Amino acid sequence: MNPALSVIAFTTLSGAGYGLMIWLGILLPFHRQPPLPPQFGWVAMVLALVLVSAGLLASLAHLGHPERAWRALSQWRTSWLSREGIAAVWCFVPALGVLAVLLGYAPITWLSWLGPLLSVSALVTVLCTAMIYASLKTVPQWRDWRVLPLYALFALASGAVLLLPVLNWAAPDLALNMPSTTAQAALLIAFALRYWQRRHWRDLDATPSLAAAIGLPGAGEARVFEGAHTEASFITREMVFRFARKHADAMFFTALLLGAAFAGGLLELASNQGGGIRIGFALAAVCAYAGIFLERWLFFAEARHVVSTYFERR
Amino acid sequence: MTALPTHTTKKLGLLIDLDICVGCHACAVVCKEWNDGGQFGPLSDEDPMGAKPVGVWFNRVHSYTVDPATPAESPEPARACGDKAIPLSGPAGRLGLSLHFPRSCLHCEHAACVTVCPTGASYKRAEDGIVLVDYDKCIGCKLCSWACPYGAREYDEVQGVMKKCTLCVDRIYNTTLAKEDQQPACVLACPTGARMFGDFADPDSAVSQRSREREGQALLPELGYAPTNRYLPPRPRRDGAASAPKNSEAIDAQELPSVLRWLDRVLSR
Repeated sequence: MNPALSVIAFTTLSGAGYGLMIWLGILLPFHRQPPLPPQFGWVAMVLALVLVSAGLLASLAHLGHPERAWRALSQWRTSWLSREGIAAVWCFVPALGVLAVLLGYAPITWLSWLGPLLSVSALVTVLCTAMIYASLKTVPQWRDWRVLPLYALFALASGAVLLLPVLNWAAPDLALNMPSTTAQAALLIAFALRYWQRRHWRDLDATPSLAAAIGLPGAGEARVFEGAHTEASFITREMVFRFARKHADAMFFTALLLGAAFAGGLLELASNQGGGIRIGFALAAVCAYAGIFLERWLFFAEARHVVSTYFERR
Repeated sequence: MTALPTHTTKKLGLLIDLDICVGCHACAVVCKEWNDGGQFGPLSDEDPMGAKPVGVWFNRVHSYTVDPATPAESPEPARACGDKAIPLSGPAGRLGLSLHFPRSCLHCEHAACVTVCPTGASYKRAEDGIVLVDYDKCIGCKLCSWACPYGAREYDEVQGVMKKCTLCVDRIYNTTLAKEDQQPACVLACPTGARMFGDFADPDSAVSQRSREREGQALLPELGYAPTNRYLPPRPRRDGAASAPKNSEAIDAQELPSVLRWLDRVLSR
C-alpha cells in the first residue's frame, strides 16, 4: 500500500494525543500522593488536544473534499471510518471538560467521572482507527489480531513518553522513576509485538494466485504478458508496486533502535539523573516518535493488497 | 445508506467470455468515451497529452499467459465440447494459452466498498444491484478503493471523488435510445461478442443460461464478496494427439524409382 504521509501523520499524531489523554484520564483523578503540580495537568491536556487536532487535520488533508468531511459522521452502522470520526469528535467533549476543571471553570470533583470517561473515549477512538485497517479483507497483513493491540500500545507508549518532559518541566524535583519505567515497558512491549507481527507477515501466504484471480483456479501458472496500461494508474500508484521490500528490514531495525533502544536508554539516563530539568526526557520523546513514525510507514508500505495479483510480474 | 440491501430484485451484471476476447481494448476505450460525456462525466485525466498521462478508466484489459496444467492439478481426462469429447490436460490444454482479461466492477452482492464508505456516497441499488457513487456526497477518502480486491474503483484526482463503473445506468434505462442500444457501451462495442449484459437473478436469462452451460466463474469467491459478473473460461483446447495431422504412409524409399525417390525427399522436407 502507498504509505501516504497524511495517513501516517494522522495515525501517529492522533495516536500520541489519545495516548496522552488515556494516561491523563487515569492520572489526574487518582494521583493524589504526592499531588501533581497544578500547571502539569492543563499543559499536558493542551498538548494532547494539539496533537489530536493536528492528526485529524492531517487526515483531512488526505481527502479530496475536506469541506464535506462532516458527512463522514453519518454511516456509523457499517463503516469503521465513520465510527472513528464520531469517536474522535466525541472525545473533545470529555477532553475539554477535563481542561475546564483544570483551569478552574468546573468543580474539581468532576474529575472522578470525567477522567475515566476521557480514558475510555480516547481508547475507543484509537481502537476504531485500528479497525479501519483490521477490517479490510483485501490486505491480509492487516487481518491480524495484533493490529488492535498494536495501535493501542503505540498510542499508550507515545503518550507515556510525552508525559515525562511535561512532568519534568512542571515539577523538576520529582525523580520520575515510576513513569519512566512505565514508558519503557510500553515501548518495549509495543515494539516486541510489532516484531512478532513482522515475523508472522514474512510467513504469510494469503494472497491468491493470478490463475485463481482471473477465474481459472484449475489452470497452470498464469503470468503477466502485457500490462493493462503503459503508464501508472490510480490502482498501481495507491496499491501496487509500493513495496518497501528492499530496505524494509534495515528500516525496521532503525525503528527498533530509535523507538525502543534509544528512547528507552535516554529515559533510563534521565530518570537516574536526580532532580532538575532533564533534556533526556524530551530527546526520548523525539526518538520514540521517530521510531513509531517509521514503524507506521512500514505498516502501510509492507502491506500487499490483493489487487496487486493482477499487476505483478514475478 | 451504506447498509447493503438484503435482497435485490434483479442482479444486473456482465458475462465476459475469456475464450473469445481478443484483447482489442475496444470495451475500455468506448467506456472511457461514453462515461466522459454521459451523465456521470467527465472522467478526468491528469497530464493527458504529456509524458506521464494518468486518468480514470472503468475498464482495464490485462494480457496474461497461462502455463499448461500438470496432470496432478487437472485430473479430468476429457471434457465435453459440443457433442464431442475432447481429451485435454487442463483448462489451458497441453500447450498453454495467452489470455486477455477485461477487469471492471463486478457489482458484488456483498460489496465491501459500500459498507466501508463513511458518508453514504457509495450505495448498492435494491432494484437491480448496481453499485454506484454519489459524486456530490463523496469526500474522496479512498477507503472504498482499498476495500475492493478487484481494483474496480479509480480516484479522480481532478474532481477529488472516487469513480467506478456504473454498468452504464444512464444507457440501460435510457428510453430515448433504441431498444438494442439500451446496453452498456462496452457490450455494444465488443467486436467478438465476448461481453453479454443481463440479469443473473433470472435463471432463464441469456446470461444465466450461458453461464451455466460454460461454467461461468466468479472471481475469488473465497474472499466472500459474491461478485455478480461471471467470466467464461476458455473452451478446452484440443489435445495435441487428436489435432495432429494424419500421419503419412510408411514407405521404403529405397524401393522407389529414382525420380519418385527424389520427389519423396523433396516433399518430406
